[in-house]
Amino acid sequence: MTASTSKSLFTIHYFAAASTFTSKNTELLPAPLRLTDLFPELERRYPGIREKVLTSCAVSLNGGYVDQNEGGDSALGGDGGVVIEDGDEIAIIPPIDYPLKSSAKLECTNSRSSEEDTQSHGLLGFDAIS
Amino acid sequence: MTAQETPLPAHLDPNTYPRYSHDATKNIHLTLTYTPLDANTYLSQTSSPAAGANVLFLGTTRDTFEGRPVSQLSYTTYPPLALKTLTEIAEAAVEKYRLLGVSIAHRMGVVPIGEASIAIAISSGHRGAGWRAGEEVLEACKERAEIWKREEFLDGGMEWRANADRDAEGKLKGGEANVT
Repeated sequence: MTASTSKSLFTIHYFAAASTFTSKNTELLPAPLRLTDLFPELERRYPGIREKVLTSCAVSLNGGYVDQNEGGDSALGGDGGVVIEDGDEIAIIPPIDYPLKSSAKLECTNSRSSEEDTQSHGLLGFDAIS
Repeated sequence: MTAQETPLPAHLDPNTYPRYSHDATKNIHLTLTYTPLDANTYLSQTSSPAAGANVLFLGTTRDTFEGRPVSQLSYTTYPPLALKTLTEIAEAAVEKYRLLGVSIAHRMGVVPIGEASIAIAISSGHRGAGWRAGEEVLEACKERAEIWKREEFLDGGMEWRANADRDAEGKLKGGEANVT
């Protein structure tokens, strides 16, 4: 906490295409800022960034993904009401997830569902002959 | 790349690396580092008397992209997210394939041509599970881990590339089935 300054600021990190477009890796922006106002604010500072870069980007707040869409309803699990506060850390995350051939897909433990137990068949089949 | 307003953020400062994450219970080892990857380190991390198979994958930097000579490749990451994602990938692999150990290491910064940018070591009771898990972990890392590759070309061009732009055979994903 820096009590010496009266200015409220949050940190924003840019990666890949976002850092190229802004010519910055990181900067400080005035807080508080509603999450839904983040992309409009960036568009105001970097005209064109929304269409060229941000539409395909995700947003992280303090190390976790948030949904910055205006339709986000916190009651439904969205982040529509979230406000970026003094000292927060935002990261603009360009796309990394592309469709993957299903045969080589690992489900993550935190989104695992019981829908597919077929994934272990190959292993079981192998164990039978090993 | 310059950031005049603020000092170099920690996640881009090599002095803040290597960054580790270790789960002793599941024998998961994760490393993000700016120094060369040492395959033996990762193999020994996952080795176990119960293992009948120890699989090692090294992804090395290639000197061309679509026939265009590459002069330099470099990687950046955002560790708060990347380590979380790599943990999820490793945990899923351990559970699905009953693995005895998983180590994933990714190099950051400039990786000279021919050197390893990613190393994956897997230990399992039997080879079938190890082979399959190795491929799946690699593909999942390329698909999901918050790591970006910057390619600089001899002709002066520069491009950011998502790791997952291409599949295991180097074909473009998410687009036309047959690209030349």
